[in-house]
Amino acid sequence: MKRLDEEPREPRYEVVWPLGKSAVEIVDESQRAEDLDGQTVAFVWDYLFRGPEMFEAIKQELQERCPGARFVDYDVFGNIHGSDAEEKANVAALPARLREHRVDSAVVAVGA
Amino acid sequence: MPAVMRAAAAIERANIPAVAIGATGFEPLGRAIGRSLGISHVPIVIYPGVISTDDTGTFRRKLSETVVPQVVAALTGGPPGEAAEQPKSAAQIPRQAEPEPQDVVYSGVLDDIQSYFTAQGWTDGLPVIPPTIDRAERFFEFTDRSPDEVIGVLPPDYREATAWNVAVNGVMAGCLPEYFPILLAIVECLADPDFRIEDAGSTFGWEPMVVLSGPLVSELEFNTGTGVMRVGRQANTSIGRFVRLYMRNVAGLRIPPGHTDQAAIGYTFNVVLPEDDRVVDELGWSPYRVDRGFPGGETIVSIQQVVNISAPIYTSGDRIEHHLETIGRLFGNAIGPWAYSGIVHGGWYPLLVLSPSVARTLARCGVGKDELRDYLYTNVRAPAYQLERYHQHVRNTPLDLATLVRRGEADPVYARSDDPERLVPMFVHPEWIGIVVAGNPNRAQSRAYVGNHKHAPVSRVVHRGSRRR
Repeated sequence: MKRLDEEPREPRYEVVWPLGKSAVEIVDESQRAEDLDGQTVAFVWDYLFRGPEMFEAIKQELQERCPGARFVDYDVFGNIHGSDAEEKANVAALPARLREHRVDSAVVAVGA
Repeated sequence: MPAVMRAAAAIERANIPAVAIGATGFEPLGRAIGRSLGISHVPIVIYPGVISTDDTGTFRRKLSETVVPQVVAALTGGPPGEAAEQPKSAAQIPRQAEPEPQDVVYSGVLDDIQSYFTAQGWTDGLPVIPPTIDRAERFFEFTDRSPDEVIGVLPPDYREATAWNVAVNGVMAGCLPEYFPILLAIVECLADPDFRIEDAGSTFGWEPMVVLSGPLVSELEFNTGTGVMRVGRQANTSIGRFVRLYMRNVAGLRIPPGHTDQAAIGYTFNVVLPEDDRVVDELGWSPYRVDRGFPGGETIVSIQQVVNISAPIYTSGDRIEHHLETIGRLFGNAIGPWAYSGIVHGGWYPLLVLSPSVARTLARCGVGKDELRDYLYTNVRAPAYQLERYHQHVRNTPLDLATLVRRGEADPVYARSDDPERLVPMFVHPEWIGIVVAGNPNRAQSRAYVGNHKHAPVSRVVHRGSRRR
């Protein structure tokens, strides 16, 4: 017969991890220029949220600070967030298009 | 933000430095995706506020005072506000030790397990069944697949989806081992690039919906009748819960804290929608699995994204046009100006659930699935300006349907005139409308499920193991 002061025994469980192994591949950081003079900056856009106004403001400011900077506009690279096929094709083509236009660094927008 | 970070990763892999720009609130998502893509060194410049609702003056002031200086600093190697958080090369990055799949990570009584899993962020806010090795191993009695089998890699966390962690999360969600072949087929769908799980954390807050069609529906006692989309039946409910839990734990889509899911509002998981084969057979209609291109003898799972659900669509009367008109009107109301997304992005697949009595009425009047699809495509229309205006609201960029037509990106039907009030089809292609028969057999109600753009339904055959009991 069970005694009144006896503690009920709850079962214990040994449980496993519900996640999976990480498949992340770390990309080495690209070398950034100390000065943008003589550099080419590209604008890459997802065709959302007032990107052209944003890029224009950045371009004007950079031109004032670094008159020797050159720019490549977003339309060269197409929509990086369009239809499924358009997005995949344009993102895959980015490296070649950036090299073709001798781009030194890129501004990607607009995440929201 | 995910698209921005994916492009930034492609640029960095080409050994060109990238700077990402996002709005307030999207930084955690950007950083999480940056880590997952191996580019957490990429600076993220934050626009302070809501870009869509800031007036032009405020927008320009914030650009000048906040965004541009950060971009300049980031391009020249300085930190944009928050310092970049990663060492310079992969070799310098310490790999955090993580458990092996069958390592015991915790031991305790039920309440302790719940507290531990909640603290780790491994639950959906509901209690879970403790995932012991024994419980997970029981699932493998219903498949021939190896626990180590890698089904795919799921963003945004980029973790491996394996048969083992499918079983573990299936246990946690309250699934029976008999459901395991269905869970495996579901995860195959999630890992299919056409499903675009990388977009699952978007602000639209879409939710996956699983349609099950085939002999397993009755064999495993899914509810196909009254309350078909309610929680309550173990098969429908636990598998629906599994989908969201798996997307949280393995894909890594989490609401705050530490969120990677930006659903502005969102809604909760869908239970599985199983097709009522008896009614489909009775009517001589093709079952959903055949519509999806599979043999009638197989059971298939099909997953698609849902952003919203229509009001209940009640129809009555002797005249078929009254039924069709009401179905079309309420389906169209549910879609609204969101129809722009199907036209602009393609891959847009709305789904209509017909209760058996509505399906019987249509069939009696000679309207089958194809005739219903054609009716909806031809008759459900909206003024062009509403779609164009809503595009501006959602994406903050203009849409001109006539331009899309001129560029060959939309059917000429969208630019028959330049009248902004002209009525244009809300469905892009009739064959993209899915139709499933299910629900209360004694009530004439239908419901429409509106999809997200870009995503086609993804389907897989459910393969049962030869060793099953």
